[in-house]
Amino acid sequence: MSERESTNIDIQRLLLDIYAARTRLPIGLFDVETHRTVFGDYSLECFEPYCRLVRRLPGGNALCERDQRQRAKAASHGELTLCHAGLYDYALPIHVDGQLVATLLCGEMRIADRELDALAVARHEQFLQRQQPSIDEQNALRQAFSRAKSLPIERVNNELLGDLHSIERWYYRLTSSQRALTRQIEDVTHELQIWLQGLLARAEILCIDLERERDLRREYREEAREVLNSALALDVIVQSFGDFLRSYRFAPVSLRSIVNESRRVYEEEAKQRGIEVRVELESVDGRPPMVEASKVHLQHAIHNLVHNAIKYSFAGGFDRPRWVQIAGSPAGQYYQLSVQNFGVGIDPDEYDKIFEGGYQGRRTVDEYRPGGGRGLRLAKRIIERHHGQIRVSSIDQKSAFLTTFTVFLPFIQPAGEEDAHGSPSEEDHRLDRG
Amino acid sequence: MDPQARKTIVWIEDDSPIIAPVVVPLEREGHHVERVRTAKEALDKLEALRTCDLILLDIFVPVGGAPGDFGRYVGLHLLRRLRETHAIKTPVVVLSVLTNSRVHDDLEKLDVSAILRKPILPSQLKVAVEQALGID
Repeated sequence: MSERESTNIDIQRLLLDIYAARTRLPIGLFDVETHRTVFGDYSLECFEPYCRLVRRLPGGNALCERDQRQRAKAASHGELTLCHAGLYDYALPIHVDGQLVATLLCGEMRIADRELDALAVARHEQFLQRQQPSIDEQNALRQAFSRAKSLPIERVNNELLGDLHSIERWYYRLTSSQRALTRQIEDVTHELQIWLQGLLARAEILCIDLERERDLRREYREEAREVLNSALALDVIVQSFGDFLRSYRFAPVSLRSIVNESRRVYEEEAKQRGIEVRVELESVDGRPPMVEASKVHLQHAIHNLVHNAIKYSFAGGFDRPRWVQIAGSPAGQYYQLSVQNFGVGIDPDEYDKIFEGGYQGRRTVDEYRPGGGRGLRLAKRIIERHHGQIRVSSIDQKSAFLTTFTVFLPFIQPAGEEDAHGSPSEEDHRLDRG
Repeated sequence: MDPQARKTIVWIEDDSPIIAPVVVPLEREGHHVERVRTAKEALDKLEALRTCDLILLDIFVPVGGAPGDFGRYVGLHLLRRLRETHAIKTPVVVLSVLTNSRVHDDLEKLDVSAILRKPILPSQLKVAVEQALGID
Protein backbone atom coordinates (compact mmCIF):
# COMPACT_ATOMS: atom_id res chain seq x y z
CA MET A 1 0.00 0.00 0.00
CA SER A 2 1.38 3.43 -0.85
CA GLU A 3 1.90 6.02 1.83
CA ARG A 4 -0.89 8.07 0.31
CA GLU A 5 -3.34 5.17 0.55
CA SER A 6 -2.22 4.42 4.07
CA THR A 7 -2.82 8.04 5.13
CA ASN A 8 -6.25 8.05 3.51
CA ILE A 9 -7.27 4.90 5.34
CA ASP A 10 -6.06 6.39 8.63
CA ILE A 11 -8.23 9.44 8.04
CA GLN A 12 -11.18 7.22 7.09
CA ARG A 13 -10.81 5.28 10.34
CA LEU A 14 -10.59 8.49 12.34
CA LEU A 15 -13.80 9.88 10.82
CA LEU A 16 -15.58 6.58 11.33
CA ASP A 17 -14.42 6.48 14.95
CA ILE A 18 -15.65 10.01 15.60
CA TYR A 19 -19.05 9.01 14.26
CA ALA A 20 -19.07 5.81 16.32
CA ALA A 21 -18.09 7.70 19.47
CA ARG A 22 -20.93 10.21 19.02
CA THR A 23 -23.62 7.70 18.12
CA ARG A 24 -22.36 4.48 19.76
CA LEU A 25 -23.18 2.75 16.49
CA PRO A 26 -20.77 0.59 14.51
CA ILE A 27 -19.99 2.05 11.11
CA GLY A 28 -18.00 0.75 8.17
CA LEU A 29 -17.03 2.06 4.73
CA PHE A 30 -17.37 -0.58 2.03
CA ASP A 31 -15.21 -0.04 -1.06
CA VAL A 32 -16.98 -1.37 -4.16
CA GLU A 33 -13.79 -2.08 -6.14
CA THR A 34 -11.68 -3.74 -3.49
CA HIS A 35 -14.61 -5.34 -1.64
CA ARG A 36 -12.98 -4.32 1.61
CA THR A 37 -14.79 -2.70 4.51
CA VAL A 38 -12.84 -0.25 6.62
CA PHE A 39 -13.77 0.01 10.29
CA GLY A 40 -12.27 2.22 12.93
CA ASP A 41 -10.99 0.69 16.16
CA TYR A 42 -13.83 2.23 18.15
CA SER A 43 -16.39 1.13 15.55
CA LEU A 44 -15.38 -2.47 16.06
CA GLU A 45 -16.01 -2.14 19.77
CA CYS A 46 -19.55 -0.95 19.05
CA PHE A 47 -20.53 -4.19 17.33
CA GLU A 48 -23.67 -5.75 18.75
CA PRO A 49 -23.10 -8.93 20.82
CA TYR A 50 -25.71 -10.52 18.52
CA CYS A 51 -23.51 -9.79 15.49
CA ARG A 52 -20.45 -11.24 17.18
CA LEU A 53 -22.35 -14.45 17.93
CA VAL A 54 -23.59 -14.71 14.34
CA ARG A 55 -20.06 -14.34 12.99
CA ARG A 56 -18.80 -17.06 15.32
CA LEU A 57 -21.12 -19.64 13.81
CA PRO A 58 -19.54 -22.02 11.24
CA GLY A 59 -19.33 -20.03 8.00
CA GLY A 60 -20.91 -17.10 9.81
CA ASN A 61 -18.23 -14.60 8.92
CA ALA A 62 -18.41 -15.42 5.22
CA LEU A 63 -22.21 -15.14 5.28
CA CYS A 64 -22.06 -11.74 6.97
CA GLU A 65 -19.43 -10.46 4.53
CA ARG A 66 -21.40 -11.64 1.53
CA ASP A 67 -24.62 -10.14 2.85
CA GLN A 68 -22.87 -6.85 3.59
CA ARG A 69 -21.39 -6.75 0.09
CA GLN A 70 -24.73 -7.40 -1.56
CA ARG A 71 -26.55 -4.73 0.44
CA ALA A 72 -23.76 -2.20 -0.06
CA LYS A 73 -23.75 -2.70 -3.83
CA ALA A 74 -27.55 -2.74 -4.11
CA ALA A 75 -28.14 0.52 -2.23
CA SER A 76 -29.21 3.14 -4.74
CA HIS A 77 -29.89 5.92 -2.22
CA GLY A 78 -29.74 6.34 1.55
CA GLU A 79 -31.99 3.66 2.96
CA LEU A 80 -32.53 1.20 5.76
CA THR A 81 -31.43 -2.31 4.82
CA LEU A 82 -32.20 -5.49 6.73
CA CYS A 83 -29.31 -7.88 7.16
CA HIS A 84 -29.58 -11.64 6.70
CA ALA A 85 -29.75 -12.17 10.48
CA GLY A 86 -32.40 -9.56 11.28
CA LEU A 87 -30.71 -6.27 12.15
CA TYR A 88 -31.03 -2.98 10.30
CA ASP A 89 -28.20 -0.93 8.85
CA TYR A 90 -28.50 2.46 7.28
CA ALA A 91 -26.79 2.27 3.87
CA LEU A 92 -25.57 5.49 2.29
CA PRO A 93 -24.09 4.93 -1.19
CA ILE A 94 -21.41 7.29 -2.49
CA HIS A 95 -21.35 7.96 -6.22
CA VAL A 96 -18.57 9.63 -8.20
CA ASP A 97 -19.07 10.43 -11.90
CA GLY A 98 -22.31 8.47 -11.81
CA GLN A 99 -20.61 5.34 -10.52
CA LEU A 100 -21.04 3.72 -7.12
CA VAL A 101 -17.62 3.75 -5.43
CA ALA A 102 -18.40 3.05 -1.77
CA THR A 103 -21.21 2.61 0.72
CA LEU A 104 -21.36 3.66 4.34
CA LEU A 105 -23.09 1.08 6.47
CA CYS A 106 -24.00 1.85 10.06
CA GLY A 107 -26.37 0.75 12.74
CA GLU A 108 -26.78 -2.94 13.50
CA MET A 109 -30.03 -2.01 15.19
CA ARG A 110 -33.66 -2.82 15.58
CA ILE A 111 -36.13 -0.09 14.78
CA ALA A 112 -38.80 0.96 17.27
CA ASP A 113 -41.56 0.66 14.72
CA ARG A 114 -44.05 -2.20 14.79
CA GLU A 115 -43.99 -3.09 11.11
CA LEU A 116 -40.26 -2.70 10.64
CA ASP A 117 -39.50 -4.68 13.77
CA ALA A 118 -41.87 -7.47 12.73
CA LEU A 119 -39.85 -7.84 9.54
CA ALA A 120 -36.65 -7.97 11.55
CA VAL A 121 -38.00 -10.64 13.89
CA ALA A 122 -39.18 -12.74 10.95
CA ARG A 123 -35.75 -12.47 9.31
CA HIS A 124 -34.08 -13.47 12.59
CA GLU A 125 -36.25 -16.59 12.84
CA GLN A 126 -35.55 -17.51 9.21
CA PHE A 127 -31.85 -17.15 9.91
CA LEU A 128 -32.04 -19.53 12.87
CA GLN A 129 -33.98 -22.07 10.83
CA ARG A 130 -31.39 -21.98 8.03
CA GLN A 131 -28.32 -22.12 10.24
CA GLN A 132 -29.70 -24.65 12.73
CA PRO A 133 -27.35 -23.76 15.58
CA SER A 134 -27.15 -25.94 18.69
CA ILE A 135 -29.70 -25.38 21.44
CA ASP A 136 -27.23 -23.37 23.51
CA GLU A 137 -26.20 -21.26 20.54
CA GLN A 138 -29.84 -20.71 19.62
CA ASN A 139 -30.69 -19.53 23.10
CA ALA A 140 -27.73 -17.19 23.17
CA LEU A 141 -28.65 -15.79 19.77
CA ARG A 142 -32.29 -15.22 20.72
CA GLN A 143 -31.29 -13.52 23.91
CA ALA A 144 -28.74 -11.29 22.20
CA PHE A 145 -31.25 -10.39 19.49
CA SER A 146 -33.88 -9.43 22.04
CA ARG A 147 -31.33 -7.16 23.74
CA ALA A 148 -30.11 -5.48 20.55
CA LYS A 149 -30.51 -1.73 20.71
CA SER A 150 -33.71 -0.41 19.26
CA LEU A 151 -33.88 3.13 17.90
CA PRO A 152 -36.87 5.27 16.96
CA ILE A 153 -36.93 5.96 13.24
CA GLU A 154 -37.01 9.71 13.95
CA ARG A 155 -33.67 9.48 15.69
CA VAL A 156 -32.20 7.65 12.74
CA ASN A 157 -33.45 10.28 10.33
CA ASN A 158 -32.84 13.40 12.39
CA GLU A 159 -29.78 12.71 14.48
CA LEU A 160 -27.68 10.09 12.84
CA LEU A 161 -27.67 11.13 9.21
CA GLY A 162 -26.05 14.54 9.56
CA ASP A 163 -22.59 13.25 10.41
CA LEU A 164 -22.99 10.42 7.96
CA HIS A 165 -23.33 12.94 5.14
CA SER A 166 -20.15 14.71 6.31
CA ILE A 167 -18.20 11.49 5.91
CA GLU A 168 -19.88 10.93 2.55
CA ARG A 169 -18.84 14.37 1.33
CA TRP A 170 -15.23 13.92 2.45
CA TYR A 171 -14.97 10.53 0.76
CA TYR A 172 -16.53 11.91 -2.42
CA ARG A 173 -13.97 14.75 -2.60
CA LEU A 174 -11.10 12.36 -1.94
CA THR A 175 -12.20 9.83 -4.58
CA SER A 176 -12.91 12.54 -7.15
CA SER A 177 -9.43 14.01 -6.80
CA GLN A 178 -7.83 10.56 -6.97
CA ARG A 179 -9.77 9.76 -10.12
CA ALA A 180 -8.74 13.05 -11.68
CA LEU A 181 -5.11 12.24 -10.94
CA THR A 182 -5.52 8.73 -12.35
CA ARG A 183 -7.04 10.15 -15.54
CA GLN A 184 -4.13 12.54 -15.94
CA ILE A 185 -1.66 9.72 -15.52
CA GLU A 186 -3.59 7.61 -18.01
CA ASP A 187 -3.56 10.44 -20.55
CA VAL A 188 0.19 10.93 -20.21
CA THR A 189 0.99 7.22 -20.42
CA HIS A 190 -1.36 6.85 -23.38
CA GLU A 191 0.49 9.60 -25.23
CA LEU A 192 3.86 8.08 -24.33
CA GLN A 193 2.72 4.69 -25.57
CA ILE A 194 1.69 6.03 -28.95
CA TRP A 195 5.11 7.56 -29.58
CA LEU A 196 6.77 4.52 -28.12
CA GLN A 197 4.83 2.38 -30.60
CA GLY A 198 6.29 4.44 -33.41
CA LEU A 199 9.78 4.12 -31.94
CA LEU A 200 9.52 0.36 -31.44
CA ALA A 201 8.14 -0.20 -34.92
CA ARG A 202 10.88 1.88 -36.55
CA ALA A 203 13.58 0.19 -34.46
CA GLU A 204 12.48 -3.29 -35.46
CA ILE A 205 12.14 -2.40 -39.13
CA LEU A 206 15.64 -0.90 -38.98
CA CYS A 207 16.99 -4.13 -37.46
CA ILE A 208 15.26 -6.23 -40.11
CA ASP A 209 16.57 -4.03 -42.94
CA LEU A 210 20.13 -3.89 -41.60
CA GLU A 211 20.22 -7.70 -41.33
CA ARG A 212 19.86 -7.79 -45.10
CA GLU A 213 22.84 -5.49 -45.62
CA ARG A 214 25.57 -8.11 -45.48
CA ASP A 215 28.33 -5.62 -46.26
CA LEU A 216 27.49 -3.52 -43.26
CA ARG A 217 29.74 -3.76 -40.24
CA ARG A 218 28.40 -6.04 -37.51
CA GLU A 219 28.65 -3.25 -34.89
CA TYR A 220 25.98 -1.22 -36.74
CA ARG A 221 23.55 -4.14 -36.65
CA GLU A 222 24.30 -4.66 -32.96
CA GLU A 223 23.73 -0.98 -32.23
CA ALA A 224 20.36 -1.17 -33.96
CA ARG A 225 19.46 -4.15 -31.78
CA GLU A 226 20.45 -2.23 -28.67
CA VAL A 227 18.15 0.61 -29.77
CA LEU A 228 15.35 -1.93 -30.08
CA ASN A 229 16.12 -3.44 -26.68
CA SER A 230 16.16 0.01 -25.09
CA ALA A 231 12.79 0.77 -26.65
CA LEU A 232 11.43 -2.55 -25.33
CA ALA A 233 12.72 -1.77 -21.83
CA LEU A 234 11.19 1.71 -22.02
CA ASP A 235 7.91 0.12 -23.05
CA VAL A 236 7.80 -1.94 -19.85
CA ILE A 237 8.58 1.08 -17.70
CA VAL A 238 5.90 3.21 -19.37
CA GLN A 239 3.32 0.44 -19.09
CA SER A 240 4.15 -0.12 -15.46
CA PHE A 241 4.21 3.56 -14.54
CA GLY A 242 0.54 4.36 -14.96
CA ASP A 243 -0.59 0.94 -13.78
CA PHE A 244 1.57 0.96 -10.70
CA LEU A 245 0.42 4.28 -9.34
CA ARG A 246 -3.07 2.92 -9.04
CA SER A 247 -4.23 1.30 -5.82
CA TYR A 248 -4.04 -2.42 -5.36
CA ARG A 249 -7.23 -4.05 -6.67
CA PHE A 250 -7.49 -7.71 -5.86
CA ALA A 251 -9.40 -10.12 -8.05
CA PRO A 252 -8.90 -13.74 -9.22
CA VAL A 253 -6.09 -13.72 -11.76
CA SER A 254 -4.63 -16.47 -13.90
CA LEU A 255 -0.94 -16.97 -13.14
CA ARG A 256 -0.53 -18.42 -16.58
CA SER A 257 -1.70 -15.16 -18.19
CA ILE A 258 0.79 -13.20 -16.11
CA VAL A 259 3.69 -15.47 -16.98
CA ASN A 260 2.76 -15.58 -20.67
CA GLU A 261 2.61 -11.79 -20.81
CA SER A 262 6.14 -11.54 -19.37
CA ARG A 263 7.33 -14.04 -21.94
CA ARG A 264 5.67 -12.08 -24.74
CA VAL A 265 7.22 -8.81 -23.62
CA TYR A 266 10.79 -10.10 -23.29
CA GLU A 267 10.85 -12.83 -25.92
CA GLU A 268 12.43 -10.66 -28.58
CA GLU A 269 15.27 -9.56 -26.33
CA ALA A 270 15.82 -13.17 -25.26
CA LYS A 271 15.87 -14.31 -28.89
CA GLN A 272 18.49 -11.76 -29.78
CA ARG A 273 20.69 -13.07 -26.99
CA GLY A 274 20.21 -16.66 -28.12
CA ILE A 275 18.13 -17.51 -25.05
CA GLU A 276 15.02 -19.66 -25.09
CA VAL A 277 12.26 -18.80 -22.62
CA ARG A 278 10.52 -21.95 -21.41
CA VAL A 279 7.29 -22.01 -19.43
CA GLU A 280 5.95 -25.04 -17.56
CA LEU A 281 3.14 -24.37 -15.12
CA GLU A 282 1.45 -27.32 -13.50
CA SER A 283 -2.30 -27.23 -13.14
CA VAL A 284 -4.02 -27.43 -9.78
CA ASP A 285 -6.50 -30.32 -9.72
CA GLY A 286 -6.68 -30.13 -13.47
CA ARG A 287 -7.30 -26.37 -13.54
CA PRO A 288 -5.01 -23.45 -14.37
CA PRO A 289 -3.46 -21.92 -11.23
CA MET A 290 -5.37 -18.87 -10.04
CA VAL A 291 -4.32 -16.35 -7.41
CA GLU A 292 -6.06 -13.46 -5.72
CA ALA A 293 -3.94 -10.63 -7.06
CA SER A 294 -3.70 -7.02 -8.03
CA LYS A 295 -2.85 -7.90 -11.60
CA VAL A 296 -0.88 -4.86 -12.64
CA HIS A 297 1.32 -5.05 -9.57
CA LEU A 298 1.94 -8.78 -9.72
CA GLN A 299 2.66 -8.45 -13.44
CA HIS A 300 5.26 -5.81 -12.63
CA ALA A 301 6.97 -8.12 -10.15
CA ILE A 302 7.07 -11.09 -12.55
CA HIS A 303 8.27 -8.82 -15.38
CA ASN A 304 11.17 -7.83 -13.15
CA LEU A 305 12.17 -11.43 -12.40
CA VAL A 306 11.91 -12.58 -16.00
CA HIS A 307 13.77 -9.58 -17.39
CA ASN A 308 16.54 -10.00 -14.83
CA ALA A 309 16.84 -13.68 -15.73
CA ILE A 310 17.30 -12.78 -19.40
CA LYS A 311 19.52 -9.78 -18.71
CA TYR A 312 21.90 -11.67 -16.46
CA SER A 313 22.07 -14.82 -18.58
CA PHE A 314 25.20 -15.53 -20.49
CA ALA A 315 24.45 -15.28 -24.19
CA GLY A 316 23.68 -18.52 -25.98
CA GLY A 317 25.21 -19.97 -29.10
CA PHE A 318 24.82 -22.99 -31.34
CA ASP A 319 27.07 -25.10 -29.11
CA ARG A 320 25.85 -23.52 -25.90
CA PRO A 321 22.07 -23.66 -25.54
CA ARG A 322 20.84 -21.17 -23.01
CA TRP A 323 17.40 -20.96 -21.51
CA VAL A 324 15.34 -19.16 -18.92
CA GLN A 325 12.90 -21.52 -17.27
CA ILE A 326 9.66 -20.36 -15.65
CA ALA A 327 8.14 -23.28 -13.79
CA GLY A 328 5.28 -23.61 -11.35
CA SER A 329 3.69 -26.25 -9.16
CA PRO A 330 1.41 -26.43 -6.13
CA ALA A 331 3.22 -26.55 -2.77
CA GLY A 332 0.66 -27.02 0.00
CA GLN A 333 -1.48 -23.89 0.25
CA TYR A 334 0.91 -22.00 -1.99
CA TYR A 335 1.74 -22.03 -5.65
CA GLN A 336 5.48 -22.14 -6.17
CA LEU A 337 6.69 -20.17 -9.18
CA SER A 338 10.39 -20.26 -10.05
CA VAL A 339 12.37 -18.25 -12.58
CA GLN A 340 15.70 -19.87 -13.37
CA ASN A 341 18.66 -18.92 -15.57
CA PHE A 342 22.29 -19.75 -16.31
CA GLY A 343 24.46 -16.72 -15.97
CA VAL A 344 26.18 -14.18 -13.85
CA GLY A 345 25.16 -15.55 -10.45
CA ILE A 346 24.76 -14.16 -6.93
CA ASP A 347 27.02 -14.89 -3.96
CA PRO A 348 25.29 -16.37 -0.87
CA ASP A 349 26.21 -13.44 1.36
CA GLU A 350 24.24 -11.21 -1.02
CA TYR A 351 20.97 -13.17 -0.97
CA ASP A 352 19.31 -10.71 1.44
CA LYS A 353 21.10 -7.60 0.20
CA ILE A 354 19.81 -7.82 -3.38
CA PHE A 355 16.30 -7.22 -2.05
CA GLU A 356 17.41 -3.96 -0.48
CA GLY A 357 17.05 -0.84 -2.54
CA GLY A 358 20.05 0.39 -4.51
CA TYR A 359 22.18 -2.76 -4.12
CA GLN A 360 23.47 -4.60 -7.15
CA GLY A 361 25.14 -7.99 -6.95
CA ARG A 362 28.90 -7.68 -7.19
CA ARG A 363 28.96 -10.00 -10.20
CA THR A 364 26.37 -7.92 -12.08
CA VAL A 365 27.86 -4.48 -11.92
CA ASP A 366 29.20 -3.88 -15.38
CA GLU A 367 28.31 -1.54 -18.19
CA TYR A 368 26.58 -4.16 -20.32
CA ARG A 369 23.93 -5.01 -17.78
CA PRO A 370 22.79 -1.71 -16.40
CA GLY A 371 20.29 -1.66 -13.61
CA GLY A 372 19.51 0.61 -10.68
CA GLY A 373 19.26 -2.20 -8.11
CA ARG A 374 15.71 -1.25 -7.12
CA GLY A 375 13.63 -3.73 -9.08
CA LEU A 376 13.97 -6.65 -6.69
CA ARG A 377 13.11 -4.59 -3.65
CA LEU A 378 9.89 -3.52 -5.35
CA ALA A 379 9.16 -7.06 -6.52
CA LYS A 380 9.58 -8.34 -2.97
CA ARG A 381 7.22 -5.68 -1.58
CA ILE A 382 4.60 -6.56 -4.18
CA ILE A 383 4.83 -10.27 -3.44
CA GLU A 384 4.59 -9.69 0.30
CA ARG A 385 1.56 -7.50 -0.30
CA HIS A 386 0.06 -10.59 -1.94
CA HIS A 387 0.78 -12.55 1.26
CA GLY A 388 3.58 -14.39 -0.54
CA GLN A 389 7.35 -14.86 -0.20
CA ILE A 390 10.34 -14.71 -2.51
CA ARG A 391 13.63 -16.57 -2.15
CA VAL A 392 16.81 -16.88 -4.20
CA SER A 393 19.52 -19.45 -4.66
CA SER A 394 22.51 -19.38 -6.99
CA ILE A 395 24.59 -22.52 -7.54
CA ASP A 396 28.02 -22.53 -9.13
CA GLN A 397 27.97 -24.88 -12.13
CA LYS A 398 31.57 -24.11 -13.13
CA SER A 399 30.91 -22.30 -16.43
CA ALA A 400 27.95 -20.36 -15.09
CA PHE A 401 25.70 -20.01 -12.07
CA LEU A 402 22.26 -21.62 -12.00
CA THR A 403 20.21 -18.91 -10.29
CA THR A 404 16.63 -19.50 -9.17
CA PHE A 405 14.19 -16.95 -7.84
CA THR A 406 11.24 -18.73 -6.22
CA VAL A 407 7.97 -17.00 -5.44
CA PHE A 408 5.36 -18.56 -3.16
CA LEU A 409 1.85 -17.21 -3.61
CA PRO A 410 -1.32 -18.38 -1.85
CA PHE A 411 -3.48 -19.74 -4.61
CA ILE A 412 -7.25 -19.89 -4.98
CA GLN A 413 -8.50 -23.35 -4.24
CA PRO A 414 -10.61 -24.82 -7.05
CA ALA A 415 -14.40 -24.16 -6.63
CA GLY A 416 -16.17 -26.03 -3.88
CA GLU A 417 -13.34 -25.84 -1.41
CA GLU A 418 -13.49 -22.13 -0.53
CA ASP A 419 -15.67 -22.30 2.58
CA ALA A 420 -13.83 -25.27 4.01
CA HIS A 421 -10.30 -23.98 3.59
CA GLY A 422 -10.78 -20.24 3.64
CA SER A 423 -9.54 -18.89 0.34
CA PRO A 424 -7.49 -15.71 0.20
CA SER A 425 -10.51 -13.82 -1.12
CA GLU A 426 -12.49 -14.79 1.93
CA GLU A 427 -9.58 -13.80 4.17
CA ASP A 428 -9.47 -10.49 2.43
CA HIS A 429 -13.13 -9.83 3.19
CA ARG A 430 -12.98 -10.91 6.80
CA LEU A 431 -14.01 -8.41 9.43
CA ASP A 432 -10.62 -6.75 9.95
CA ARG A 433 -9.06 -3.39 10.24
CA GLY A 434 -8.96 -2.53 6.53
CA MET B 1 3.23 -13.76 -53.16
CA ASP B 2 0.36 -15.54 -54.83
CA PRO B 3 -2.15 -12.74 -55.68
CA GLN B 4 -4.94 -14.79 -54.14
CA ALA B 5 -3.07 -14.91 -50.85
CA ARG B 6 -2.93 -11.12 -50.69
CA LYS B 7 -5.44 -9.75 -48.23
CA THR B 8 -7.11 -6.41 -47.76
CA ILE B 9 -6.95 -5.04 -44.24
CA VAL B 10 -8.81 -1.94 -43.08
CA TRP B 11 -6.89 -0.27 -40.27
CA ILE B 12 -9.06 2.02 -38.09
CA GLU B 13 -6.49 4.11 -36.26
CA ASP B 14 -6.10 7.86 -35.81
CA ASP B 15 -2.38 7.75 -35.02
CA SER B 16 -1.39 5.89 -38.18
CA PRO B 17 1.03 8.64 -39.33
CA ILE B 18 3.00 8.20 -36.08
CA ILE B 19 2.93 4.43 -35.92
CA ALA B 20 2.83 3.64 -39.65
CA PRO B 21 5.84 1.26 -39.61
CA VAL B 22 3.92 -1.22 -37.46
CA VAL B 23 2.16 -2.50 -40.61
CA VAL B 24 5.26 -2.48 -42.85
CA PRO B 25 5.87 -6.26 -42.60
CA LEU B 26 2.25 -6.86 -43.62
CA GLU B 27 2.59 -4.53 -46.61
CA ARG B 28 5.91 -6.09 -47.60
CA GLU B 29 4.17 -9.44 -47.56
CA GLY B 30 1.88 -8.04 -50.24
CA HIS B 31 -1.22 -7.29 -48.20
CA HIS B 32 -3.06 -4.04 -48.84
CA VAL B 33 -3.63 -1.90 -45.75
CA GLU B 34 -6.28 0.81 -46.08
CA ARG B 35 -6.22 3.49 -43.39
CA VAL B 36 -9.33 4.95 -41.75
CA ARG B 37 -8.88 7.59 -39.08
CA THR B 38 -12.20 8.10 -37.34
CA ALA B 39 -15.32 6.18 -36.38
CA LYS B 40 -17.41 8.39 -38.67
CA GLU B 41 -15.14 7.64 -41.62
CA ALA B 42 -15.46 3.93 -40.83
CA LEU B 43 -19.25 4.15 -40.88
CA ASP B 44 -19.05 5.91 -44.25
CA LYS B 45 -17.15 2.90 -45.61
CA LEU B 46 -19.40 0.08 -44.47
CA GLU B 47 -19.15 -1.78 -47.74
CA ALA B 48 -15.37 -1.77 -47.56
CA LEU B 49 -15.57 -3.09 -44.00
CA ARG B 50 -17.97 -5.80 -45.04
CA THR B 51 -15.87 -7.02 -47.96
CA CYS B 52 -12.32 -6.64 -46.63
CA ASP B 53 -10.51 -9.63 -45.18
CA LEU B 54 -9.76 -8.19 -41.75
CA ILE B 55 -10.35 -5.06 -39.67
CA LEU B 56 -7.53 -3.84 -37.45
CA LEU B 57 -9.14 -1.63 -34.81
CA ASP B 58 -7.96 0.78 -32.14
CA ILE B 59 -10.38 1.26 -29.26
CA PHE B 60 -9.35 4.90 -28.79
CA VAL B 61 -10.33 6.47 -32.09
CA PRO B 62 -12.02 9.86 -32.28
CA VAL B 63 -15.69 10.05 -33.19
CA GLY B 64 -14.85 12.14 -36.23
CA GLY B 65 -16.39 15.54 -35.55
CA ALA B 66 -14.34 18.30 -33.95
CA PRO B 67 -10.63 17.72 -33.21
CA GLY B 68 -10.00 15.85 -29.98
CA ASP B 69 -13.56 14.55 -29.76
CA PHE B 70 -12.69 11.30 -28.09
CA GLY B 71 -15.50 9.60 -26.28
CA ARG B 72 -14.64 6.71 -24.03
CA TYR B 73 -13.86 3.60 -26.04
CA VAL B 74 -15.40 4.85 -29.28
CA GLY B 75 -13.82 1.89 -31.06
CA LEU B 76 -15.74 -0.52 -28.83
CA HIS B 77 -19.05 1.21 -29.62
CA LEU B 78 -18.16 1.26 -33.30
CA LEU B 79 -17.48 -2.47 -33.28
CA ARG B 80 -20.75 -3.14 -31.48
CA ARG B 81 -22.57 -1.16 -34.13
CA LEU B 82 -20.81 -2.97 -36.97
CA ARG B 83 -21.67 -6.34 -35.49
CA GLU B 84 -25.17 -5.73 -34.18
CA THR B 85 -26.64 -3.06 -36.43
CA HIS B 86 -24.89 -3.74 -39.69
CA ALA B 87 -24.27 -7.50 -39.27
CA ILE B 88 -20.67 -7.20 -40.41
CA LYS B 89 -18.90 -10.45 -39.72
CA THR B 90 -15.41 -9.52 -40.92
CA PRO B 91 -12.69 -10.82 -38.57
CA VAL B 92 -11.46 -8.09 -36.23
CA VAL B 93 -8.12 -7.77 -34.47
CA VAL B 94 -8.01 -5.10 -31.77
CA LEU B 95 -4.74 -3.23 -31.38
CA SER B 96 -4.88 -0.75 -28.55
CA VAL B 97 -3.25 0.61 -25.40
CA LEU B 98 -6.24 -0.85 -23.58
CA THR B 99 -5.80 -2.03 -20.01
CA ASN B 100 -9.37 -2.07 -18.75
CA SER B 101 -10.42 -5.66 -18.15
CA ARG B 102 -14.14 -4.84 -18.36
CA VAL B 103 -13.71 -3.47 -21.89
CA HIS B 104 -11.62 -6.54 -22.63
CA ASP B 105 -14.61 -8.74 -21.66
CA ASP B 106 -16.98 -6.65 -23.80
CA LEU B 107 -14.68 -7.03 -26.78
CA GLU B 108 -14.57 -10.80 -26.45
CA LYS B 109 -18.36 -10.87 -26.57
CA LEU B 110 -18.16 -9.09 -29.96
CA ASP B 111 -16.29 -11.97 -31.53
CA VAL B 112 -12.86 -10.40 -31.97
CA SER B 113 -10.14 -12.71 -33.22
CA ALA B 114 -7.39 -11.24 -31.04
CA ILE B 115 -6.81 -8.39 -28.61
CA LEU B 116 -3.28 -7.05 -28.90
CA ARG B 117 -1.79 -4.51 -26.60
CA LYS B 118 0.19 -1.55 -27.93
CA PRO B 119 3.07 -1.11 -28.22
CA ILE B 120 3.66 -4.21 -30.29
CA LEU B 121 6.50 -5.20 -32.57
CA PRO B 122 5.63 -5.18 -36.29
CA SER B 123 6.76 -8.81 -36.56
CA GLN B 124 4.38 -9.80 -33.74
CA LEU B 125 1.50 -7.93 -35.37
CA LYS B 126 2.15 -9.69 -38.67
CA VAL B 127 2.03 -13.11 -36.96
CA ALA B 128 -1.19 -12.26 -35.10
CA VAL B 129 -2.92 -10.84 -38.20
CA GLU B 130 -1.91 -13.78 -40.37
CA GLN B 131 -3.16 -16.19 -37.71
CA ALA B 132 -6.48 -14.36 -37.66
CA LEU B 133 -6.57 -14.57 -41.47
CA GLY B 134 -5.83 -18.28 -41.37
CA ILE B 135 -2.56 -17.88 -43.23
CA ASP B 136 0.22 -20.28 -42.20
